Amino acid sequence: MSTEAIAETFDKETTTQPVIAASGLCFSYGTGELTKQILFDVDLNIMPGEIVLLTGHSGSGKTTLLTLIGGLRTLKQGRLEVLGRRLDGADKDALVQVRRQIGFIFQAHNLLDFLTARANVELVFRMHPEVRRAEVQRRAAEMLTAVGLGQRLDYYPSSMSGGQMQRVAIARALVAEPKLILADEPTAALDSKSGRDVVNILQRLAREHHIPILMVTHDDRVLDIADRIVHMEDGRIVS
Amino acid sequence: MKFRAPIAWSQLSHGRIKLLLAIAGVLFADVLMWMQLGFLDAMFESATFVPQRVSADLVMIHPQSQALFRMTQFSQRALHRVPAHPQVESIQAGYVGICDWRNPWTQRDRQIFVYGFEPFRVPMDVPGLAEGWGQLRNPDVCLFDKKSRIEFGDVPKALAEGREVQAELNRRKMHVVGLVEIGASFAVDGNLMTTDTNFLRTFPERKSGWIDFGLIRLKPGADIVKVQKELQATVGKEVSLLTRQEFVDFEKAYWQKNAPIGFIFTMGTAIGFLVGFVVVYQILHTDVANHLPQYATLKAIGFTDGFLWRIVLQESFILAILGYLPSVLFAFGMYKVAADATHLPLKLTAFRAVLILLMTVTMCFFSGSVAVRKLRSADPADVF
Repeated sequence: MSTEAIAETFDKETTTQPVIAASGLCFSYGTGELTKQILFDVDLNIMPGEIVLLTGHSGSGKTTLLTLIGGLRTLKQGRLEVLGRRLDGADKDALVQVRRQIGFIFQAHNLLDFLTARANVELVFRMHPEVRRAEVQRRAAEMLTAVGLGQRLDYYPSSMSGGQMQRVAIARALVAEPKLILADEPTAALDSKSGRDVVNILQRLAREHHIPILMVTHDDRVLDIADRIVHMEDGRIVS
Repeated sequence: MKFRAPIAWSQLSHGRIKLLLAIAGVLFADVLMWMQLGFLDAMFESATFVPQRVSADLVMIHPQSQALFRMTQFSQRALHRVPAHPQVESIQAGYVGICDWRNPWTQRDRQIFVYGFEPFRVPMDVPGLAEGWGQLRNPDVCLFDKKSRIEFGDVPKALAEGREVQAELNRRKMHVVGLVEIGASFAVDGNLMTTDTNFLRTFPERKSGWIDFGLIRLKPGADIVKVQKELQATVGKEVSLLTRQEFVDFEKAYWQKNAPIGFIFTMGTAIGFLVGFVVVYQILHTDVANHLPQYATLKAIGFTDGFLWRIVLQESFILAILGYLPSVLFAFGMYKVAADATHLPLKLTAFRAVLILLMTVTMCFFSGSVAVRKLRSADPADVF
């Protein structure tokens, strides 16, 4: 088989099964008269390896959509399948199981201030006790080196810059080989240079490991990394 | 889990001052518990020192007696009916009383506890008594408890220097001819041992033959409980017959039930426990509250509540141990100081060490369990 043929088969196999398949998602906060509907009939499919940016003004519902996909909120209406699991009507344990396969990157890095960069990344493997300690240490160090922090393994968050801390957070999100990355404005708290670095690293690692990314962003400077841009307005996907 | 990075320890030790404060809190609580429980035990130990050591299988007392220093007298005729039983080997009448002892050096009066026994046999097994007992046949002589409080005068030193010690006891001259070891208690500051004859000379108001207790010794191999029942039937209800253990319990019960002191020490222990609980809770609660976004993040990326709870509970366990260990050293020093000052038998026992360790762990565990409730407010959906 030629390289092209392999690529084709690969594409066929993977394109048939979306990583995220959402249809008819509705979501509202509050109850009774105070109910405020945030999402209206949202449909969204994301294919393996795809980098999708989710843009829109504040209040457009993009972060809510991200929390639903990440299994951080329970869905009440609509159909949602993430990594082959149905999330609508899923119980707490099922949500936790899905979350463990997702790499999360938040606007705030939220690293544990009492652990070093290395320990923050190694911590993830507490959820994967089958991985041996030596391998945990090797993979954490490799991942931190991949995000350009090979010289700062034993630094505490308090002695790192914002960009460095966000890169540790990326290493933490990627070290356990997630099948999906969800990122919420990872560059919002960073200056343009660090922001660019962070996004470049994210893009490169996602491509290398063939991991799809769904990223919420306001930042026009990073739109070029996307395969596709989804724009939201008032709880609906408009393009 | 194949390995265990000490997350709880990292979190605790990250803030040195926080850690020291928490340890100081546990330490304070523990020292309080050591002291209160120590005094409580010393109270029982000192009160039952003599009852534990009387040379008797059965003790006869008046049923209305409350404690060794609050005895009701009864006629020794009841005691004299006892030897008719074939299993009884010997009987010995005993008197106790409290009177003024004038310190021969300062001339100041202080109340002292006096025991008077029939002289034919050493009435109890306390250090020094067997050696000195024979000298008590002379009139107006006694043995002095060298662990009496120092306010009675330094009698042991004077005797050691070969000087003659003569004090006024109830306004009569009394010679000290030897030393015994009994010790002060919460009721009495010092003790004297003498014979019934000398006792009655000292307490002219007491009638000969109206005794405070009678010691009964049985023949070797006698069934004590059986004889107790048979004798009780013989002597009637005017007197009670106690085994030695019952005599000890009788004394203990007075301090447990009738005296407020036992309650006070128990209360003090509870307060120590409470103080420790509050301090550790405050520290852990603040620690959790300060890390809520991080904990929420950990929940978001797939950690369970149980994982986070274990971290907080591990923290509380570490604090318990770190506070407990130095408290043992503190207790050692403070028991020494307190024992020297009060002449009470404050001893660091293994039982109490284990008891306080368990109480400390329980205390910190409670604090941790209440503090982890704060973790519920770490909502992973709020991280985005």
